[in-house]
Amino acid sequence: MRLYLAPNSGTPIYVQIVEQIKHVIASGRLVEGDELPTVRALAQQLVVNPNTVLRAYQELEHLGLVVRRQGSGTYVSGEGSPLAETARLKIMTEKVDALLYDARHMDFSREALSELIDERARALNLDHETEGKRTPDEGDSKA
Amino acid sequence: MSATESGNVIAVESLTRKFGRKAALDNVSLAVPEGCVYGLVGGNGAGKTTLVKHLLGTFKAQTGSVRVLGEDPVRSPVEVLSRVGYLSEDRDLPGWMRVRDWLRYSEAFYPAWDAEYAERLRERFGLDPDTRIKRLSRGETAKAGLLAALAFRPPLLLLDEPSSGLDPSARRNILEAIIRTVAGEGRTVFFSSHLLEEVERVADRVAMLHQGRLVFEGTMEDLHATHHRWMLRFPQAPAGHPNLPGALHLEGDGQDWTAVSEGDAERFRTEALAAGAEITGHSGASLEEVFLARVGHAAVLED
Amino acid sequence: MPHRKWNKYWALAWEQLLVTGSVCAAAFGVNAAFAGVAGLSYASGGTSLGDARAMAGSGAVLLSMLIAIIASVARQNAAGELSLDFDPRLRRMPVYTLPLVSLVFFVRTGCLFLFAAVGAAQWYWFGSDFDPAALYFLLIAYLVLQTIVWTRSGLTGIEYLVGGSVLAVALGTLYGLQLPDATFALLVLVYAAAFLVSLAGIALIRRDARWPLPRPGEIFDAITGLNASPRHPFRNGLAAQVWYEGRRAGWLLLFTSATFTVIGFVILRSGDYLNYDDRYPWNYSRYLWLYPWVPYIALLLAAPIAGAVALSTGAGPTFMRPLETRHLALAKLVALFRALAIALPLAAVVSALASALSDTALWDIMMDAWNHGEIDLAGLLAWRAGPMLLMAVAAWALMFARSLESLAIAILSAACFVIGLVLADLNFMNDEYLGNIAVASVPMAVIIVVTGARYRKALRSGVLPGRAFDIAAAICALSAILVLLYAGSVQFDANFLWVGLACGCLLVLPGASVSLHLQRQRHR
Repeated sequence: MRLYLAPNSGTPIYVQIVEQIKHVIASGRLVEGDELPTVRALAQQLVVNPNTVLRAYQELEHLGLVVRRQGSGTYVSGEGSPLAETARLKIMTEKVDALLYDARHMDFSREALSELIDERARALNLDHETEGKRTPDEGDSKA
Repeated sequence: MSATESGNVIAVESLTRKFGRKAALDNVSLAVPEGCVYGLVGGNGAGKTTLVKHLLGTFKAQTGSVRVLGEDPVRSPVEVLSRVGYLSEDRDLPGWMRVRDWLRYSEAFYPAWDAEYAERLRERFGLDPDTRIKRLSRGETAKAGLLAALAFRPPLLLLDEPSSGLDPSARRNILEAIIRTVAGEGRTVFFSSHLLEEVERVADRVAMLHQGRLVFEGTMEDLHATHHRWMLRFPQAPAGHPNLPGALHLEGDGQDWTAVSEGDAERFRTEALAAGAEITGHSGASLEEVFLARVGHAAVLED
Repeated sequence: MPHRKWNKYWALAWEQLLVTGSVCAAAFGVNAAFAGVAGLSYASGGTSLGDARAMAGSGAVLLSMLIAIIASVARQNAAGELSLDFDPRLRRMPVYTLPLVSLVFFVRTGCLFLFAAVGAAQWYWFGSDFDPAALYFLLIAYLVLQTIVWTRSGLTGIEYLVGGSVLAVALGTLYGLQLPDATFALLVLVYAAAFLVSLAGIALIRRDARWPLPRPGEIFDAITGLNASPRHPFRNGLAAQVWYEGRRAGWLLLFTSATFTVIGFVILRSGDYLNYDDRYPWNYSRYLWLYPWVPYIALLLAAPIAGAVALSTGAGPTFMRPLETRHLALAKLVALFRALAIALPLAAVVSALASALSDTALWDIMMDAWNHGEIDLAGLLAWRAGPMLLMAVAAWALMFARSLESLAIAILSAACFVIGLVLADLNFMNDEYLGNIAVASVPMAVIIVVTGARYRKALRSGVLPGRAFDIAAAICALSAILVLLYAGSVQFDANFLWVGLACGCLLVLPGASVSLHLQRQRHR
């Protein structure tokens, strides 16, 4: 798991860690039962204060995304998937919002935008892959 | 180990220091709890080094008091210095010593010196024991100084501008050392820096010095909870600065303004809306923004 | 027409010729201007300076030679900076070492030698008393300097050994064979040695290698133990600090006093040379008495320098060591005392040698007395021991001029030294050994009072424990008794008790004043 921090962005570092781990779980790169790095290891990897990492893990635990077992580590919880759905929705919503803002600034009509989206999807041949992507997700909801 | 009754490793109370008529430190009070990483930030000449020198006993408090690990560093220099790992800003190590001599020399002063650990650190830092210190690069000199500050596992690590003038690799070594120090044994780190990004990364608590005065002191969490950055757009350009008492700092011209606010975000939002502004963006403020806002603010008050 | 490609050796020779040639040309400009002004003033006859002709000849030549030599040794490198090295650019050149060094060496020395020849002709033209030895000496100095500069990073000091032994052998041979012109022969020998040493040194540098033998400095360190690396872990912080101060300041005392001694001898010797034909008003024999004093004066000059370094800690790393201030002071005192204890006997030996070699009047008197059985070895030692001890005390006091916050004590002790020692030595066999004791007693009284006051202050402020005062008092009493015993064996005089007490005070005064000084420096 690689996280990238931007200390100067104004977003507290623990929030950045929480968001990125949420993102990792939402995208399915970590699934139920996977172990997160120890607080110490992650602190040293990111070169941040261990207390900050601890704080992020507590926040994730509070959200129910991970469970912390005394003396053994931090694991992705089974309740991750329903929340992953909303998290995913949230992330995509943000991106779409940004896109819409940009479109408005550049005088792109809504119709032109949807056409462009369709066109790009065909050009990149993404439709097929998107279908494929859903599979692990369905597996999640079964579990 | 509990350092003092209050649990504070460093306790500075209403410390004032004057050089001639100029106050280098003006009524500074701060407390560093055990096990935390404390960042002291400020511009050049803000008084950071003066404060650090008080902590080391090199300066005697003119008014106020200084306690480090529960002791007065002026009255008991040996008790304090033997438990403080210190890396000076100038890295004034004896250039004529070889790295090996430097370690052996330093070892003599600290009963808790861990020779094996020192050797491991030396290898990790890639320092050749037979090189004279004056032949080391800037980064290597800093590493040699850091090595001597770490090898006796001091309860307090005191770093004065540890990464100024260093390349990214040496800087990372220093930051890692800070993290290892607190992560491993819950020891305390006090460091001064003007590289705010670094402080933001590793500090739990932060104190901002400006012209000898403390303009902010608190946890990073407090700082982020109480400081916000706003993008404001006014329907028509206000004459002069917009009237927003809750703003620490305002910047911009014409219709678009950036504000850094202190205190409750909702109150500022109401204030801004009442002033007729449209809020086009709102996010947390970074340490750098807070620092610039604070220092700018103080400078305005000065005038 | 395609131009012909230059041979790389031609290119190198051309470049070197340009570099040294322009240096020589500039120096010749200085020479011509200087000689022109002096020559004109001589020719017009409107000057009362009888030396104008000599200035136009020897003066201008020597000055311009000196300029050319300095400029050639510390010349500009490729980056246009002052460089004390064999130009790194030349070192990287794709040329074999032998032709490279030969070309650079011979072009440079060739230019300078040519310049020297022009100078010699000029000198001869203006004045008939031309002595080429002066020019030879300059050229020898140039060769030695250039060799050191070129090879110092490759031979790591071996050039001092090799060069020194070559010179010693050469000098010995010359003196032994009684060659007609010793200086010229010496120049030839040095020329050959300089070329070979430069070649070897640059060859090593180009291979990034070093001479395997240790540097002379390292041998010296190993003998004295002053500059060596610690072989065992230190017992405690105090031992480590003593080692630290010994290497910082103690070593400096030895080095500086040795350097000053050499410089002093060179100055006196060149004074001899310049005064060869009694052209100058001072008398050749009158300052010969200075020779035996050179090592001592050098020590007195070196003492405040080493002391200042020992005490100039600023807010540096020393104060960051977890060590009591009085232990910091103790470490400095021990290191400096040890260095003085090594330097003083060395100075005494050199002084004795110098007085023997320079045939001073004192030496003659002493030899006379010795031959007539008026003094024995013990008497001889006693005669030298008194001045030596006073000198030791003066050097000791001078070391701490900085911590005493006033040069007063240092000046007072120097005054004591002059009154008690130089005057007494000049008036040899004078019964009033300490000169005018009434004059000397004023500074002595001041020293005793100041010492008492400093100890009182140190004890009150808690820098020193009470035990330190007892030790200081014991040392004072002991030195008073020793001086009394020593002087009393010649002639009893209560004044000697007084002198002994003052000496003791000067010995122990730094104990209090250095501690107080450091305390104040440490916690500003």
